Order: sequence, then C-alpha cells, then structure tokens
Amino acid sequence: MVKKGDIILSVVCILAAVIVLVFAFALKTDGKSAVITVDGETFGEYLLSDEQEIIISTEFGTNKVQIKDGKVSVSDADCPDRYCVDHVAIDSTGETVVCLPHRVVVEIKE
Amino acid sequence: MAKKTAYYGCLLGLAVICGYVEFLIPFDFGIPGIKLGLANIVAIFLLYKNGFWQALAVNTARVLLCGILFGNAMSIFYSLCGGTLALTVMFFVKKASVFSSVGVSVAGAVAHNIGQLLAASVVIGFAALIYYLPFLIIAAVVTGFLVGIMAGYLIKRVKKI
Repeated sequence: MVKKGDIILSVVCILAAVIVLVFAFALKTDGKSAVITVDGETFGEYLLSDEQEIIISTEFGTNKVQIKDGKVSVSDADCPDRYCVDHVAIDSTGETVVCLPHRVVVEIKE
Repeated sequence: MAKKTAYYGCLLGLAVICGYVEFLIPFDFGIPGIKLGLANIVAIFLLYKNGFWQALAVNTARVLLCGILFGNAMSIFYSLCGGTLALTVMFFVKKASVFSSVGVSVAGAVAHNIGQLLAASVVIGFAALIYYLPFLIIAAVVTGFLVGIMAGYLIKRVKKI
C-alpha cells in the first residue's frame, strides 16, 4: 500500500522540520526582557533580571506570569486546557508562551 | 435518497465518535494542537470513495457537532480552517499517482496543522506561534502516516455505496 512517493514526502517533511529546529536551537540568544500582550495590545514589559509575579486579569481570563532565575513561566491560569501552565520556562529571544483562550502572549525580547 | 442519508449519517457518526475518543484520551506533548486525527480516516475514505464535496460536507458537520458537544466556538474555527485546507490539499495530492492514501494523508495532516496555526495566528499573531511549527509538522507526518494506512485498508475493503 505504501508507495515511494509517500516515503519521500514523509522524510522530506521530517527533515525540513528537524533542520529548522537545529537552526533555531543553534541561533538561540539569551533574552533581556519579557513583553506580555493581551489580544494584540501590549500589557507590559518586564526585565528578566527582576524576580516578580505579574497577574493578568482580563475579560478573557486570568493568568499569572512568574519571572524567576532569568526565566519566564506561567505559574497559574484559569483557562480550560492550561497549556500555558504546562509550558516549559522560556528565556531566549523570540521564545513565547501562549494562552490562546485568554489571548495572552508572553514573548522574550533582547 | 434514504440509502444516501443512512450512508453519510453512519460515516458522520463514526467521525464524531473518533472526535469523542480523542477528547477522552488527550494527547499530552505539551504542545497544543497535536491530535491523533482519527476522524480524518473518515474524511480520506469519503474523498476516495465519493468525492471532495462529500468529504468536506461530512467533515464540516463533524467539526460542528464535536465543537458543540465537547469543544468551543474558537476550536470550531481552528478545526474548520485546518480541515478545509487539508481536504483541498489532499484533493490535489491524490491526483498524483506516486502517492497512495498514506502520502495523501501525510500531506493532509501537515496542511491541517498549518491551517490551524494560521487560524490561531489571526487571533494572536504569527510570531508567537512560529516555534510550534516544526513540532507540529513532525507529529503530523507520524499521525498522518498511520491514519493513511488505516484509511487505505478501509478504502480497499469497503465497497462503494
């Protein structure tokens, strides 16, 4: 059932994804601050060197963002899937943690 | 007419059950949007046996039903975007004889994830989600491959109605 074209397509897709990942990992740079946006509008910008907890409470929901040891993570949220809370802490420029139901984006800037 | 209603009704029911099974057994890789894509077995089966519009109609109905039963309005939006793009891509990929249902399914799965990512980027911007793309593509190839094999068996063994 499986044809040659299927294998080639699958291998090409996986290779492309792996190459992108390798490049992204190699070009990673440490970030300096975290920018939080809600529904596209800037909520605030915070230095990674300042340990702090930021509470974002909007009509979409509530998220708690924690900055500790130069890393940013979502410590708590009341969204249904809590993908944002499960996400690993981020610290490199361009990395993001997203809470889609609450339209919250935490992005690291240099 | 009655036979058609029963036929498409059965397949729609099957697709909804697939959605329900996925709802019960959540995949947890930490990255949102990774699913088994079981309902696509029905979509691909219909694409091969009955045609693009038939597959699109059942898939749209399935997304709406699953969204109402165990999803929400936004998930319906993402799924419709992903599913429609996937079926369109699969329609064209199917025309190339070098691909079997497996290649068609892989192409559909990758398109599905890209479609969902594009839909989500309308809400929160593309830059925020770009890091997920490689992971989504790898997952899509793996699940798409398996779904394609299962769909292939169904296509081979179930007579066209």
